[in-house]
Amino acid sequence: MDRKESIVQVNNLHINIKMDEGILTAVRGVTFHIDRGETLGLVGESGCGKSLTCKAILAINDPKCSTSGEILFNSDDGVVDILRLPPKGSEIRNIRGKQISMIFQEPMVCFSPLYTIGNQINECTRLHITKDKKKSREISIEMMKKVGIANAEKRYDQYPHEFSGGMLQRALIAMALVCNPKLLIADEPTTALDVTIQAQILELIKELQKELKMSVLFVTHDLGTVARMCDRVAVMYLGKIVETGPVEEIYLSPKHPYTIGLIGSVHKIGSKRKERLYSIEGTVPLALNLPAGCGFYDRCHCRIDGVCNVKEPEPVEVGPNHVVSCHAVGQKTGEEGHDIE
Amino acid sequence: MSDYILEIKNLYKEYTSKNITVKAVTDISFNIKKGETVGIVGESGCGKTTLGRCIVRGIPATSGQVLYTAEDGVTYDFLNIDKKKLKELRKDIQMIFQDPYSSLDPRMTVLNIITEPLKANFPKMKKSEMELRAAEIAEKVGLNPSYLKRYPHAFSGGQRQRIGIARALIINPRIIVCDEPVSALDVSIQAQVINLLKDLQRELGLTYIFISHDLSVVEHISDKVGVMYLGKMVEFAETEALFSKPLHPYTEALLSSVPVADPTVKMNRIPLKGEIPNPANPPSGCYFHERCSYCVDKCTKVAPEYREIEKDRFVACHRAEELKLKGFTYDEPKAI
Amino acid sequence: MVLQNVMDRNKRKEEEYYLASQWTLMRRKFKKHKLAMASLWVLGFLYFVALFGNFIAPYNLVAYNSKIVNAPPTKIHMFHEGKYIGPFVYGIKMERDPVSKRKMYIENKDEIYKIKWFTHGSEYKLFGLIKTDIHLFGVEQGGVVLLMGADSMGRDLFSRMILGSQVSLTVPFAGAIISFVLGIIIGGIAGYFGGAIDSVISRIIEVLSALPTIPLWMALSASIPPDIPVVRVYLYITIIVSFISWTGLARIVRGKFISMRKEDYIMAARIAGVSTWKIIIKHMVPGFMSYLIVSLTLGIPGMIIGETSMSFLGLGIRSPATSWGVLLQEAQEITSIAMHPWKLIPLFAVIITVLAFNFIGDGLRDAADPYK
Repeated sequence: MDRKESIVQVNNLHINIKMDEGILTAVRGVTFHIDRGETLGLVGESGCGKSLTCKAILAINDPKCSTSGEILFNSDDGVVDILRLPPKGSEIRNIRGKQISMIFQEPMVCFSPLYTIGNQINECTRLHITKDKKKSREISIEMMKKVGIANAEKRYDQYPHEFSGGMLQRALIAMALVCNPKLLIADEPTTALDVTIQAQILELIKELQKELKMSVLFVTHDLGTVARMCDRVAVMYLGKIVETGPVEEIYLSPKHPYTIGLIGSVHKIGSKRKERLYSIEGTVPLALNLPAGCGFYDRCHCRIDGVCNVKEPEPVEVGPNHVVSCHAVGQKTGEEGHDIE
Repeated sequence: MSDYILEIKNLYKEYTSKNITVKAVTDISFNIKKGETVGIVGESGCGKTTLGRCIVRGIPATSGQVLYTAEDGVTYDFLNIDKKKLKELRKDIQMIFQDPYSSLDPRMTVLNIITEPLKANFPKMKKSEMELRAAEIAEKVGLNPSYLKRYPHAFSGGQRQRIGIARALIINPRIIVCDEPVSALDVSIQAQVINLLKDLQRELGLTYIFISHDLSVVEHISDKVGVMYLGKMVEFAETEALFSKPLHPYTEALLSSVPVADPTVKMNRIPLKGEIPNPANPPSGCYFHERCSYCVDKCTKVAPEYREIEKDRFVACHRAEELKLKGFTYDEPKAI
Repeated sequence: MVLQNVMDRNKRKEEEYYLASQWTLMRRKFKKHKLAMASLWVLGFLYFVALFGNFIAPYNLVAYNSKIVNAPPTKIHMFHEGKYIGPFVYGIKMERDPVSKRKMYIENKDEIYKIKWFTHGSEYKLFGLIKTDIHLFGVEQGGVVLLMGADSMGRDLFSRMILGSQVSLTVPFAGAIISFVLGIIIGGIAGYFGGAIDSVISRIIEVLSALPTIPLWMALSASIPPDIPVVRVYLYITIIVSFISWTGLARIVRGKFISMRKEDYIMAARIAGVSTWKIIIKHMVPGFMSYLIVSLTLGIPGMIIGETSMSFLGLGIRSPATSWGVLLQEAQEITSIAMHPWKLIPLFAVIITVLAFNFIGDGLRDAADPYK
């Protein structure tokens, strides 16, 4: 582990999926770390590999995926490499749900319709905290109250279909946090929720994070959410991290052409309307039989022929904690994200 | 001769099944000028999608009028015209759908999907003419015409959305109802499609009704915005006026909840108590009173009237004149 | 250079995929189901044999010989006393076992009857059109070749098997077509109009599905007059058999209609001004076609078993026509089977055919709706 305060250190993660048409190189060498108590945002659009990366940390990817690299986790029993743990062993099961938890986008499909919400939250409590029926029920109800579910005792015995979307997400958060994990992975937790509910859930996550002194890996493609929730941001494109930095740097002084394009594509609410949004031309290619060089080459407006389509760019530090992988970065002189025409 | 190309008057839509009546759309009225974009925003259960589908007659409205002023200057009630007139006028009002996957028949080639409206409305048109027109439209929306013989499964979400737009455009409509056209797309593709819609509007003089839950997108594209809550329109105003000086507490709460894509801006969320009520069992009086921080006794008993409080500004709140609600201040962005 | 070839081939594969219609995609997926593909070959073989049945079978339906009642399958020999003389059979002599007094057939090595290809035999109409009397193979005058033994009337089981297959394999098919048409029309009406019409039709379907099949068939087949021509009997049996599965198909069509009505692309077509009839034909029918075909294929085994059972019970095909079910009537007693086990062969034919259809149906079902 590089840093003493790091909870997770992912080194050179590669995930390949074998398909009929060839090998899908979904994740192509991802390296990042999450410190204690911080929220790292993992931003990217569909096909960038962010979901696979998260699931790899919990080792819950489909066995069809072949994973290599290192995922170092600062667990209760010292530093372990999650990828080296036996996939069905007790060590990884002691981590999942207890030391690293995950919440997902659609809370409705995360609960079994056959059991009460309380029963399902309690499953986690009984597995990791105490087997005593009465005590575990109390702990679970406490957690439900903490996440803001009114009438927790009554709702404990209700079924998922009796809960609204927002309530279910709260229940999911309760289930994830009841064991006080070191790391919470949130994979698009508010994308399917209404705006006002989304705001409530985001605030809830922030409060609980402060109270439980937890780290959060926040995965999303919504730039507004990232700006509100994250301390640092890692931008992913086509299986690689192209830029990492503190959230203010990323928004106000992005350096990678993809990040610049992304920030420019979004209209910031409450600001003067622009005539046109900046749009990155083309679409994300399929990670199958990729050509050599930078993955962003064919959509980049400042690409350098002979360099960008030949060699992969190496990460370069451009500011305190701000790292970019781009050949052209040294030659640009700090453009404003908003000035893209 | 009307000022407006479209006047929605007292539109209602109710669903009844097994003694439960859900009022999806209640008494919606607003007007649109030619070439304008009116955004309709709201959260789940507000009825915006149902409203859109009623306007294009995709589903039958329970009651109300949609007064459409056709190119010949005559105004017709689109919801109450005879079959012959409907066939004639239908091409003027088209729709773009939210889900790029379920809005295209997977079993038809893209060429057939795009030319289907032509075949239905101009049966005498020659096949070669139709193909030419399809190629023209495809280029206009940014699709490679040589790909038209492919099937939808060959295209990405953004491209499918373009196909949907091409299909809507091919019969030269004057009004397009866009039902969450970019919600299912990635951020960078959203920008492409939004730019495309704006370009087409400018070039072809289109009028849009833009339905969305994404307030940033609505702010960017709309001239006027209507806010819906539980089937009712609670506020309707010009975009900048609504966003900077909202008059309805729900609008204020909604605006304050949107996460701003700028980490330096401090958010002051107006906390909303509780959840969106069940549309089958709405609260008494003002639908919003249970969650409103400015609620007074009158609000629990009497439903507020949707009235024109200033020129072209409508709101449904008893206390609209006295409340001083917060919106966005439109400061210049900070730079490092 | 190699990389370029690989990239070109990938591009071509991509392009094929993009231009592939629903049926092409289905066919590709189906080909991957090995069991289904194998079953396709098996069925192809069986139907081929049935098609040329009269040609392949050495004897026709009415030929019988009381001297070879319940005779076992004749052995085909190539060598006689060490010398190669080509395929032939020995004569058959009937003797009684001294102890059990049971009839036994032994080969009479004195008589040699050569097997000839493309011999003249009984007259028939190939494909029902061309009059001819040439059979694939036959035996010299005086000999008998019983590849699968003889039945209790001295008739060649092999020939009857093949000629019976003509009925057993086609009745389900014809029944399937009738089910298909009935299912689409009735199910379509119910699904499209909904409301009261749908309720009435659904109740009728439920009642029909709830009726016990065997009594139903017995009643229906008892109503067939006894002295009508064979072809008409065949037709009536087909209709009765189609009753078995049209209800299931109607349900599927109805269900698909109801679910497809809500699809966005149907609404888009309506908003564009496409007429209702066109919507049904261009959008809905292709939509449920793959499901219908799967259901049909999986329903054919039921019809095969239906026809076989009815004929076995004496309710179906009547002589002189025959089907595998009729042939199985000979296999009712355990003593009969114990002494003449070749009489069970039609059973295996039924099993193989049913299995083949089931596997093909599985393969189709896995391949169906490539857009799910």
